[in-house]
Amino acid sequence: MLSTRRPFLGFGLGLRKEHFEAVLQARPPLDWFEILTENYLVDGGKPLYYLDKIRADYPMVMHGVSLSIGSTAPLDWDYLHQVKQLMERVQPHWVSDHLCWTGVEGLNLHDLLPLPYTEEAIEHVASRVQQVQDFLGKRILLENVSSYVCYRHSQMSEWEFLTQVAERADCLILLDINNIYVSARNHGFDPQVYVDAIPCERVWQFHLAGHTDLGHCIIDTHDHPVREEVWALFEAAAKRFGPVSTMIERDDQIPPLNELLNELAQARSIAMPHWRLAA
Amino acid sequence: MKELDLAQLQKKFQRAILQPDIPVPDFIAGEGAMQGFTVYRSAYRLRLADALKVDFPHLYRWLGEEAFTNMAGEFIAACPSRYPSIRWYGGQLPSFLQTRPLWSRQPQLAEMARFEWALGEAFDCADAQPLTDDALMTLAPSSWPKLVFRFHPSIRLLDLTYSVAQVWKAFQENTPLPPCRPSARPVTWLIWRRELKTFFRSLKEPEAHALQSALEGSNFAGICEGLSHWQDGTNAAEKAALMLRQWLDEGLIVEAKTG
Repeated sequence: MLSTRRPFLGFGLGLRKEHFEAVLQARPPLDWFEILTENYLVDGGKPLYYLDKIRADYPMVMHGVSLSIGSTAPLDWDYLHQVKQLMERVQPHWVSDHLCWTGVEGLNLHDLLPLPYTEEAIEHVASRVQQVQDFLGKRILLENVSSYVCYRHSQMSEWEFLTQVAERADCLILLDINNIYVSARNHGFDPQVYVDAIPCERVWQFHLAGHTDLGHCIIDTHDHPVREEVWALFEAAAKRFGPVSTMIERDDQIPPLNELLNELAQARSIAMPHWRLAA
Repeated sequence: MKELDLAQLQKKFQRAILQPDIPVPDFIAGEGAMQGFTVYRSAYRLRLADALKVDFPHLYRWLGEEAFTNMAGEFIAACPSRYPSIRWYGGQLPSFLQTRPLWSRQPQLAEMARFEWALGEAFDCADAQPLTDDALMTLAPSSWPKLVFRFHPSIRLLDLTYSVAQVWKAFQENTPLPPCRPSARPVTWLIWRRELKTFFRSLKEPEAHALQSALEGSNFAGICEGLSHWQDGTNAAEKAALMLRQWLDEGLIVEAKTG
């Protein structure tokens, strides 16, 4: 069961190809990078060249989108072998993916699809997480996804589901603060209740990102700066969880690196007063 | 309502994403079911279409937003992804364009797609250290006829009837588009990567033939023999040596050994 103390890497960014050169030239003052696993499952060329160069200067974690841990299709062992190979190259502090499914019957919809919050799904996911952890030789982090639909036969809340999966599988949690906010707005729950229910010791990483507000629904497009409401929820999470490695995740409309560094400075200024107190 | 098991639920959910005209599954709850499910249906198509725009940037510009979106929609409907990484999703687009009635009437589109996909493959395929001139020059002249060559993994040879490479270059450099006419016979194009940069050039028939046979494992003598179709014997050997020098200069060859 849970024993390792939570490492704190500080404040990081998602590494994007638009910033490869700027990172190498400027060595920006940030503590770590998260890489998107699938972007580096290639044999050579620019992606791996920059990966190795940047890894030499910064700690990294790996973040995948294709594990499909909740799918009822068999685990993709070819993919997992590739992930393991990349882990050997990168020596990441940890590896994460999403609490979701991405397809069945051999297909990949390339989306993070929600699971029904049922006992059956918990059992299913937990047993697969254990297989993956055994194979990779370390515990993984699962991230909460944003969702736009609910299932009629869900038996519990999302936070109960996430907690149950993490505890039964003995895995860790990547808490995406923006996704909590997005789902809270879309499904009408209080995001603070969600944050307060998650077991502290399992949360090893925070994601912060922006979203698009369509009025009737909000979507986690990851193409905007972090919004006020999400900063407020982040502060509440920072208070509750103590020092957790925190990063800004921007996937689209990638701005110059400096803009993201400013956002990261904001995260630092919100969290550090609470974390200094905790220390 | 009868409770579905997880496997059935996922199959039905997936089918309803892939076929947007069937009703939203009845296990989706609430008044906003339709609206929420539409988010997934749209995101699925948008994400795949965006991936195609990234992998075929100049085909996209050539067709324009509307035609590209229509084409991508047809492709997405016909070819769902079977890849863990979206990086590989567009691999079937060239053959799709070549075989679908509406698109195969404009064969230059499939050729542009083949060209761009090959550039993409060269971009992130395995690295290899090119052989230097010196390494080859140290070999005894007597060993030359039996030399076989290993080439950089990025090398692709494409036979193209239309001048899509010139169109691609014009888009890349923001210069006026040249007319894209078919030539009487297909022209072979060589695509390769040297260190991190991708290159391409057209080959005349003898060189295309020589490089193809070298890639298939012919030794130097065999390459010369192939060239004698265009040159007499002495000239063929000289021509082959010149080609070899150019291939070395361009970083195409990574190993030479007596086979």
